[in-house]
Amino acid sequence: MSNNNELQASHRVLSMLESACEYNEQILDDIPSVFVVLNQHNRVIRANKAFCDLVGCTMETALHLDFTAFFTSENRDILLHHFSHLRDDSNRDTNARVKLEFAGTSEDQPAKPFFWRIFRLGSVSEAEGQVISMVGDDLSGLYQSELKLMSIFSSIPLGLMVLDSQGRITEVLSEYCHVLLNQRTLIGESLYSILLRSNPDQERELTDAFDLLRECAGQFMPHFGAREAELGRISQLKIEGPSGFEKWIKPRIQPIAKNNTVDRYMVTLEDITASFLAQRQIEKADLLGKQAQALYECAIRDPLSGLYTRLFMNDSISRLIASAKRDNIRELAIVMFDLDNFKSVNDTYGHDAGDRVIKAFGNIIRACTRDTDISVRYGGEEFVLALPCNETHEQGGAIVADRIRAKLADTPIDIGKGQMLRVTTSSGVAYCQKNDTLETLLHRADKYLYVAKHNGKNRVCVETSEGE
Amino acid sequence: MDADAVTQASVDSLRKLLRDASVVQASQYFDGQNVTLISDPPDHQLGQVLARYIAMVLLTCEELRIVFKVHFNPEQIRAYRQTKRASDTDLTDKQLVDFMKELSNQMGGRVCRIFDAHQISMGMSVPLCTRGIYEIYADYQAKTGAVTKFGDFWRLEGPFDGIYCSCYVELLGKNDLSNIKAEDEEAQEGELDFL
Repeated sequence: MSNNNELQASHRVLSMLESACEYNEQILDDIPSVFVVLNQHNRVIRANKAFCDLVGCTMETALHLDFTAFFTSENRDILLHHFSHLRDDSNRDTNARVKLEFAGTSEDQPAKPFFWRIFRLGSVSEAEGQVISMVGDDLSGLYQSELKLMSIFSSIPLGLMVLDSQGRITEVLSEYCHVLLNQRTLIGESLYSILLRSNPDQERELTDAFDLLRECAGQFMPHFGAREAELGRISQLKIEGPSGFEKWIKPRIQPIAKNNTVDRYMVTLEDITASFLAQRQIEKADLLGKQAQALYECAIRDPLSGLYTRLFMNDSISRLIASAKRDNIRELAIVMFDLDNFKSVNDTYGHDAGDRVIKAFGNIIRACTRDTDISVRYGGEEFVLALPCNETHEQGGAIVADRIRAKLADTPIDIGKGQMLRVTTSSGVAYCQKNDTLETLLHRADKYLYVAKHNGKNRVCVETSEGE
Repeated sequence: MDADAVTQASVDSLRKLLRDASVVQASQYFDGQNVTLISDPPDHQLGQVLARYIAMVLLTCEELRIVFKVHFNPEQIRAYRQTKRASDTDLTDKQLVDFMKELSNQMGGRVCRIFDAHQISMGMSVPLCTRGIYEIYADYQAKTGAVTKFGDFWRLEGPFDGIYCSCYVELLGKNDLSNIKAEDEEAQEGELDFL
């Protein structure tokens, strides 16, 4: 009875082992990598589904195939070399790794790159001899991704290159590097020399930057990080070539780490020619704009008094009149000033003194008026003010005119050579009415100015509502 | 006869016994159809696996130990089963494996019965099946020197196309076993359709 139990137990264990074995075999069958076991003669004695799919055979027909027949003669030699090495008992290596193309079963089938891991399984039976297993992974997808990436790298308008610790170009990752640096051969060249050729004026910055790269090589990454900002000094560089070739580039340098120390550098060259030229055009346009503004200012601004000229007056006061007619302005006063006895100032003290008087009067006018008022030097010693007013009190124009008059009368003017002079002004004030034009308004203001002069000067004559 | 001659006679007898047992039992197992033994399969080279699967049994007695194996591909057996019964198209590999394990079991059983008839009690393991590279006993060549163990393999051709049988025999004593032969044992009555 006991023996029977032992027998049953043994059978049970064997059955379990058999199941475990089958389970393992199933795993081998289903792994996505190609898996084969080869006997001494490199014949397949075990293959999984991935191998059968690759070769286009069944599990049964896979057996006995000569595995090396799926490789080109050159690759076969490499493979046999590895086999021989692993089967050599004196050799301690138990596995090898190799990248070899699997040529396939027919000419229609394209060769596929594979990464193979070869293992020595040793000898179990004399007939099979030294058994070898191989696990292969198809690299086609990886290669395609790499090619795609490389084509992107090559086509992007960005220069990508790798420098060694001494600043020499060791890898050119994008074709655009050649375009940007206007150089056919770059490998082995010193980037510093290339950049310096076109930028001798930045020699110091370039030298400092490349010295820094050499210094940081082999140092821990944080060391580079602490000094990275110093590289920012070379923000834009020019590359010149024959036939007017000119490009502007912006370099960026990043360290490539190995064991957390700076090993090499990745350089990105950005083509900023378009933005640089655009910026230059903008600057030119700005300058032209400023010049035009200055010219315009010259044309509309009297340099002596600092007030507007008649050129500006016509348009600006006409606009105010139009606005007043639309009732946007409650009251628009036109004041015409004339300096009293100005001719005698010129005759007595000279034109320089006359100019000083004009200038001083211009300052007084500007001080007594608002930004919204328009102050114009109308002619020699004649001035016109347009005073829009939305406030409730009437005859604001008359108030301002009298304030200016009083201010001038109270202000002694330095006419040079230690002499001070008091000057007075007379003015006429007219208010805009519905059917007024600039000419009619000026005409009426001039009329009241004449009245002021006639009545003894140094006074303001104001148009009343009755037009008197 | 000297000892070596006795041993050689035992080996020859056992080799024939095992081969004959496989033929008779296979014929019976495959519906009494004709099964032919190919002694030296011409398309086979040493070191090559004989088929994807191996069904095997271990036979032991005081005199000797035998590993008896049947090498087969499930597809062959499936094809054969389909000729027998159309519904057998859906047979799984597992079912086919069990079918062939039973064949190896019957072949081993036949050997046991022959030994029993000569008052040699022989034990037999349950049949096991494995596959892959595990040709652990693929020692098909006879050893040189003193013949105390030997290997053999042969091909059986029949309605199932072709399967291989192989054995690995270790003689544990020097008794003369050449007299152990299959008597006119009739095929077992009552045909067994495993599936």
